Amino acid sequence: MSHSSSTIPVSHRPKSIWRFSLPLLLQVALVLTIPAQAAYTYFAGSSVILQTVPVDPYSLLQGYYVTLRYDISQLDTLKQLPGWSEIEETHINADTALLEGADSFYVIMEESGGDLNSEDASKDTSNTAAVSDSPPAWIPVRVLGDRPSSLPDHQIALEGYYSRGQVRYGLEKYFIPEEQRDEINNHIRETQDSGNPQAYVVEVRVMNGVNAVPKSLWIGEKNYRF
Amino acid sequence: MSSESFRRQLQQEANQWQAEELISSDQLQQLANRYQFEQLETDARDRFVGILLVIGGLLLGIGVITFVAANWQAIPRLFKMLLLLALLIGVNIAGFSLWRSPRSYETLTQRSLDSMSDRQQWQQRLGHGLFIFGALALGANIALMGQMFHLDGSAFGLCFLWGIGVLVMAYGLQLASLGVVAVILINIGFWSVVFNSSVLQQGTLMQSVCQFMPLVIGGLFLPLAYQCRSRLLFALTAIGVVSTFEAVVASVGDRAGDAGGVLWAIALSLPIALLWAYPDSLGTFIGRMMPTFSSQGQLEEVEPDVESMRRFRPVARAIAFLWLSLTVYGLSFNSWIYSSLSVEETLSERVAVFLPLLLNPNFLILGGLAIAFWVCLGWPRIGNQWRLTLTDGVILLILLVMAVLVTWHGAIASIGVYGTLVFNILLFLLSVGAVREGLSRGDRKQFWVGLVLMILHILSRVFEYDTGLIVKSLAFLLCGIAIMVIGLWFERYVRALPVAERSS
Repeated sequence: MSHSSSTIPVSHRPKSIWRFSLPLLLQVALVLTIPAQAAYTYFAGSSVILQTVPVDPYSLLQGYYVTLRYDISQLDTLKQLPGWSEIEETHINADTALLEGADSFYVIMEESGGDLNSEDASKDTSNTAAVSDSPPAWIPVRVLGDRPSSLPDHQIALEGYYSRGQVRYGLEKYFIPEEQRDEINNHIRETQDSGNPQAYVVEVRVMNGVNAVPKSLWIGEKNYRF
Repeated sequence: MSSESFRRQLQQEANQWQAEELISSDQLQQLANRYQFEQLETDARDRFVGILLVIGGLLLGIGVITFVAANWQAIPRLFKMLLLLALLIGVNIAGFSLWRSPRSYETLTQRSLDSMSDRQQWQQRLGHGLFIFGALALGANIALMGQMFHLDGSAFGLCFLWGIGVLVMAYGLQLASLGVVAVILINIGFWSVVFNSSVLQQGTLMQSVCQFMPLVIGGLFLPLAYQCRSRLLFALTAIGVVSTFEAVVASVGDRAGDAGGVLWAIALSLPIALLWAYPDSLGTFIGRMMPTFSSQGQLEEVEPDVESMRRFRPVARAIAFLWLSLTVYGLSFNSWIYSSLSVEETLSERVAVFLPLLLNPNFLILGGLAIAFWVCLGWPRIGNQWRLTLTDGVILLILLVMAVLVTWHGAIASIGVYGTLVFNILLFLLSVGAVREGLSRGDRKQFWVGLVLMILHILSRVFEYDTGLIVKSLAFLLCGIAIMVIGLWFERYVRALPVAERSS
């Protein structure tokens, strides 16, 4: 047959169950291991509250999300921190080529008052919006080029890197359900009109200063967690 | 077995011969048996059904991905995760059990396999469609996991891991179609990095993978292309390797400068040199290395089908030729006078850029391979003499001229209008060469590529320069005459060929 010459002959095709089930097992393992670190951080990491500004785009594969631009994503904020001048030359101004990676740096956040690891922030708010006061955002106090080996309890390190004009922490997306998109957008707009710059904060879970996941989003006094 | 188009033509002719009583109905029957005329229709129908099922699988997969994107909160997250995992496993198992023919293979001979019933073929194709669906369901699963934990990973990470997952299955089942899906996914991921000019975090696995993409794609997909004997997969792999190589060169140049034009010379010549000289003996070697599995999944001791592996060189050459034509076409525009020398670097600065460039594994391995391939091409076979065929020699010459000129332009002095002149001559040579080769071999595709290139060349030049209408008219006249002369020369050339040579 002419078309069999372009593919492998039927008789030579591997039909062994192992040739199928091993790849399938690997696929399932792949699906489960990708979020393992994030899940661990999500449930066991310590909380840090970050000041942010939200925007709303769409990802083809994962749906709608809120893009978060944190206070500490702005170079102007970082420039005022001690330690910045040491890393500026090597981490920010270094000309990174297209496929070469950018060096990581660490921003030390300090709790600004109140016990924020007490789970108050997100208690009983699973998948819904709860109304209470938004927690005060933590304050950046220092920038380091290397990961700090130990920090006092009220401080947490966040790993970031600089990529073509933007500081990134891997915390820039917060996925929201399609049906609540308009509601959240309206809420964001209303809060913006009310002119409260402290209105948006994000609760982030951090593990060892390397892995961080956004846990919930505060808009005004409403807490969203999906 | 002869090609399908030949069989179709033969079927028509044979029917006519019988009508004209040139052959008897017995002889027609013999021809029909020998060339399996009755299978022509079923082949076409099967292919059509196969394509429909694959498209169906793709649409189903996109449906599931969109479901994930909707981030529907009506069902709890854990349930959604289990549902999608069950879908991934279920679809693949269903696909496998349909795809694997239910009959025991020990009792089947090749003949009974060929006459496999319609029902079984239908099942196999449906199973194939389900595998495609399963491949997309894997992506939906990965996307869901990212969404659940708000992972802001790069699109590259998602596409690459997804592609690897699909590739593992493609190797397991030796399915070229899954390999095609995987190579497309990995390429989409890579180019999303390039086009968004996003920088990945240093020290991560994804960043290293990105930096060595040409080698990664070649290493992952070339063996599969040979294992499945799929020309499509080979073509996509080859395009993937050379196009990602260009991105890597751009990245190196971005950081370190162009080393006095050397980088440009490498970017322009190396991919074409690599593909043009691509030896099928490499394929035979890979084919021998790759284990061939019997129907029971045990290693077979049989000699691999060497003949069917010797089929990738024409594909590589076609890609190389198109690539070369486009490159020379791009360079034939009169831009050489505007672009000045890159930077005023001293010689030692250039060497300082050039040395690490040579040690970059992408350059080292692909460059080494290209040289080895050309050595193989000219290796003395008869009479202890190194020799290249005329076509190989011309291509090599064009590549060398290109490399030398670009380096000269970057390192020594602007080549200005001479550059434009040389590249126009090269483009003309290429198009005439393609037309000539196409005609002498009776290869219609090559002939047309050459002709289109020639027309493109002439029109581009006429419109590029602000020439008077008289000059334009003269250009058209001269081109017309040239084409006629070539045509007449060709006619005489073909008639002068001995019959045996012509028919080959």
